[in-house]
Amino acid sequence: MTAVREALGADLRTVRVRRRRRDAVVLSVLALAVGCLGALALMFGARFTPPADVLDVLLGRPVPGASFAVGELRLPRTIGAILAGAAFGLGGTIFQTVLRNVLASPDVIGINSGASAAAIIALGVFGASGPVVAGSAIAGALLTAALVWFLAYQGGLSGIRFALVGIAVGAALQAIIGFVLTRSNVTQAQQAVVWMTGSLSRSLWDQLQPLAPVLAVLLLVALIAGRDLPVLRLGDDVAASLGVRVRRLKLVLILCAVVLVATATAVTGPIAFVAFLSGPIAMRITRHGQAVPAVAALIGAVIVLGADLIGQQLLSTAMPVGVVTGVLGAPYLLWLLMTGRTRA
Amino acid sequence: MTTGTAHTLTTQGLTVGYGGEPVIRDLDLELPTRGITMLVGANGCGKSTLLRTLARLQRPQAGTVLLDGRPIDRRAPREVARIIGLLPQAPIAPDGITVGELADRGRTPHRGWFGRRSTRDDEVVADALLVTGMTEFVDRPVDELSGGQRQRAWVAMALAQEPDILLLDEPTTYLDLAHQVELLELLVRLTLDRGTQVVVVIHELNLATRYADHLIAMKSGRIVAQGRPGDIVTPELVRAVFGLNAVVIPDPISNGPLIVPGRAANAPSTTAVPEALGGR
Repeated sequence: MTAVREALGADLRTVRVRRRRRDAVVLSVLALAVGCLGALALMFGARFTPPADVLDVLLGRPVPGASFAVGELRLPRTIGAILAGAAFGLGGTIFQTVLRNVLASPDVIGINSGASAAAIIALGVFGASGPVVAGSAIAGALLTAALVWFLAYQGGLSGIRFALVGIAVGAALQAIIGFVLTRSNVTQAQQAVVWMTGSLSRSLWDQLQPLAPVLAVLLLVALIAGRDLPVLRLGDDVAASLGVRVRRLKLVLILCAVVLVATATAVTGPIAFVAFLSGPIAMRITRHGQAVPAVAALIGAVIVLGADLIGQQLLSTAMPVGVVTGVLGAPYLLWLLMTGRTRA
Repeated sequence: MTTGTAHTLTTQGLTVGYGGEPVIRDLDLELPTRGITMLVGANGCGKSTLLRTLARLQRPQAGTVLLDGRPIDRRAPREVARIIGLLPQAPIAPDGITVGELADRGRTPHRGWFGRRSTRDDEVVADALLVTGMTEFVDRPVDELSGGQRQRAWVAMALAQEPDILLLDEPTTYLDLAHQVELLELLVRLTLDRGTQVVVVIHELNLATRYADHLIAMKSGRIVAQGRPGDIVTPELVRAVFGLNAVVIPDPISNGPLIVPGRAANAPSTTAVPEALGGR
């Protein structure tokens, strides 16, 4: 018996080490992809900037004709894309895992609509701009999350109830957005529509400076708290009997996720489907490993960076990033619904 | 692998409810420190609630659960999880998780801060898979297994946790008779080989009477009787607890009590039932 046990133990260890190595490879490849896409985003814009010049700008040396385009436009845009993408990816995965339903992603359950509604009201009714709009978006997302939570929580969290309540709340918010848009003048409506589509064009230093540190810290906290996500996926009772403080963990995770998504939305507007897509993709390529949260964050960054490059460079007219992710994401949502694979 | 340490698990004045009428009222209980204890009772009698409260998944409205004399809710959850394991009723495995990974999750309360595993961790998991006979399924996804295999995979997870006290909530539900017997014999072996204290909520009365060292019969949140099945199982007890007329005869295999159900005590008397079954 002992020999058999040791042999099997060694087998299990081999499988686990192999899996861990696989996770490390996946993480490295994704990090590399983020790096490459980021470099491309810095090089390509209205005009091409050679890598050497980009490097000079990054090192703080003045480069005539590139300092402004790279340093003031493309760099904050790229950082914004990476941070917002990671925030959407990680936030979405947290929602889907904690609520045990793929559909319970923040963009499906109305959190994004909440941010939009608040931002549109700030833009359209009060004529606000910049930080006020960003602040309103964060407040709107938090309020919506609290409202959905309050309406859907009945002695416990049920993913499907959350999704349904969220969709209903989202529909009501869309109605508010529609109402405000019809009442605002053409310029404001134009601004508002671009905002709602999700665009990185607002990702400039003055927008990014106050929000980037918040995103960075939250990403870190969520990744650390997310270590127990794989255990949480076994269900509340099993997780609790394995010594996880389920209630507290869920609260911390959801709070982190809401603020992550809210803050990212304030930077870029609600980019469609990034939160929804990243988790399931991460799940698929890591085969449910411990690395899912980190992988989802990186996938989010890759999607946003990639979609922005496509929208800016590959299409004949420049498109906001949200249009591209929407076109990519909608078929996937339909496929999920048609094949019934909604359990996270 | 290792022989468990005996722990005392007791309740004092335990009252538990979900708002409204309490499900368990003022319950004092001391669980045996060895063997298999089985909780039986009609649906809604509070046996599952009691089990969940013992595993601190349910907070009592009043009273306490004491583990080795100390209130369980004042101890760190991880510390408690190294002593008490609970397998809930019909757990659902995440899509695509393999048997090996599921069993490995049982090591969670023994995990260090950076999640490093030792050779011993792997051997404990290996042992859990061997004992439950799941070695050939290690790399198979849990959701592709049959009901009996799936239940054994979850038991493997609970065993990898190395609890000294293992609580199981209706582990035999959804299993056919052969798999029910197989599972209960596995639990018996655990109590004998490892000294694990096993507490089971179960509906199959005759399996309870055969495999329990200690039987606890509950009704409306109170304990009606407890003791060795041979000492307490009588037709009167069955009627009091389940509202069922029954005949108790010696089990031809174990010589313990075997309950042969008659008709429900509160059934309308439209059909004639033989007198032996409680009809007239």
